Amino acid sequence: MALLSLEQWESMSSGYRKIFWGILLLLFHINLGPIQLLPNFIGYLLISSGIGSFHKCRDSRGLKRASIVSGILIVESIIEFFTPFWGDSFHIPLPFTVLFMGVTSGLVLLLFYDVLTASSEILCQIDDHSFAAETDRCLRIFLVVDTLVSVAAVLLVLWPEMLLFWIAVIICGFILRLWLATVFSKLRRRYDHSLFYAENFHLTSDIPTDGELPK
Amino acid sequence: MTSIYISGQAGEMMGNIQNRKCLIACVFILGIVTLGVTAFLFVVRLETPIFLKSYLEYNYSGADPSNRHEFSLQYLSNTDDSRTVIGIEFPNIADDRIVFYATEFPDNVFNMDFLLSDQGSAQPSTAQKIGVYSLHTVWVTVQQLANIEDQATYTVLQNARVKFNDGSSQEVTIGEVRLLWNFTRDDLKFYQIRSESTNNGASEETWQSGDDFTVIGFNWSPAVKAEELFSVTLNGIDAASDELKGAEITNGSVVTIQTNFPPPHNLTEKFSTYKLLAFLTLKDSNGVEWKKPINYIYYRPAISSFWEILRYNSSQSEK
Repeated sequence: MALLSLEQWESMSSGYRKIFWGILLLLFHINLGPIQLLPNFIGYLLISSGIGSFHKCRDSRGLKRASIVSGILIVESIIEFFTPFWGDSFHIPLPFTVLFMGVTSGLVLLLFYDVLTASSEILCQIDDHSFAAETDRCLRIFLVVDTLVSVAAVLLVLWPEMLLFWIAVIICGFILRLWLATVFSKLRRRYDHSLFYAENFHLTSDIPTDGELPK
Repeated sequence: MTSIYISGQAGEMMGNIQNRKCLIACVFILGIVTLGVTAFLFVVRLETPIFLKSYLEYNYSGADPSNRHEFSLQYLSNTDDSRTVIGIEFPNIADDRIVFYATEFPDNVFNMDFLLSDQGSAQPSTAQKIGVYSLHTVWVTVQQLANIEDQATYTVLQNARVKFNDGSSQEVTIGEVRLLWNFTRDDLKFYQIRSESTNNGASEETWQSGDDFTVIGFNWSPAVKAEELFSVTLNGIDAASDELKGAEITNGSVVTIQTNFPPPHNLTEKFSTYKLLAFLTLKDSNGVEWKKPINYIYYRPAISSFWEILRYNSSQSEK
């Protein structure tokens, strides 16, 4: 079993915690008129910071790509945040809005693909293959369902009067993101501080809190 | 159920390959749909707003020099086009006794606020979104500046220049709006009891005669081939038929005039607004001839389908 140091273990836990909160921030939109009080770029910044924490454990191409993708999403959401302030004279034509929606959805797919794949690889690294397989399964579910929701959202641009379908798509998207947040919450609990000692030193009690390893 | 996990590098690789295939398939599907919808939206995008044709006739008394009259026009624009109409001119009209104003906000029409051209842009749009288009209604006010005492003359409006709140303007063909001045004579002894009008062309007026009349004839609006679009009956008899000529209307009798817009109609007709005048020529007991206008020949399109608008635009571009 390839051991992770306590520092790596804690950085994994911290990374997943940030990603969990990032997803929750993306989920809720509180607007004061055209101004977003919880702008999306804050959520993406947290996710990006979480990804950065994983680099201590694994320096993979996937994680590097995830960092780049999260950076692009941060820039996109900053632009989206400032768009209402540019006035009535600036209007993005609808085809470009749809393209923007599709590209953002694709980037989100890629982002969570890379993060969850890296998570699975790290789990294999610490010999937790069952959890790794579970993570892979969650990844596939996310990819398929998120694609269906995104495709439905793009197609519904042509039928904006179909209110019930719009509501159904929004609810599905909300539930999916909430479920994704719970996946990352489970991953964070996997790297709980107490488990580090239990797994690496087979300790079941008297876990040192000062970080010193038993002799 | 026992789960079998393939451990080690082999398991890792198999999982990665499956996930990679899943990602590629998902991104491919999303990409195809996004590009397809984007391309479609570019194809159906309107280069300029399209004004739906209106064939309107109004019977105005021109005696009061400060009179205002209103009518409305409709146009389609892209849903992301936030412009609104704030003015209208009819370049072919050289009559300085009337001036025209336009606004998309009906509250402004009653308060005259639209005369201050910035007012329109401060209000939220009243346009109806249909698919990727918006259907706008423009309220046009005809303001009289002087007495118009020309007997039975028409001001005919066909081509207009509309002004938008961003400073741009557009030359449009609105159909035909005919303003008939000074035609109504208030002393006709025909008293309205009830009227009911709908937007789909069905209407009913009930009148009571105050004298003995003989029906001389029935004249359709000259604006469009109204007789091919509408049917008008007088107490169940087709108003344009020979059966009605010479019919007697006795003093105190009730006359019901019904109008309908029976199908079939092509897309151009379905998307046009009609408010037409027809006239019943009557002779009273003293031998005096009267022209009684029939006012509720009215049809306004109820557009709710994006795909129908597409077919309409396609049919217009083929012409």
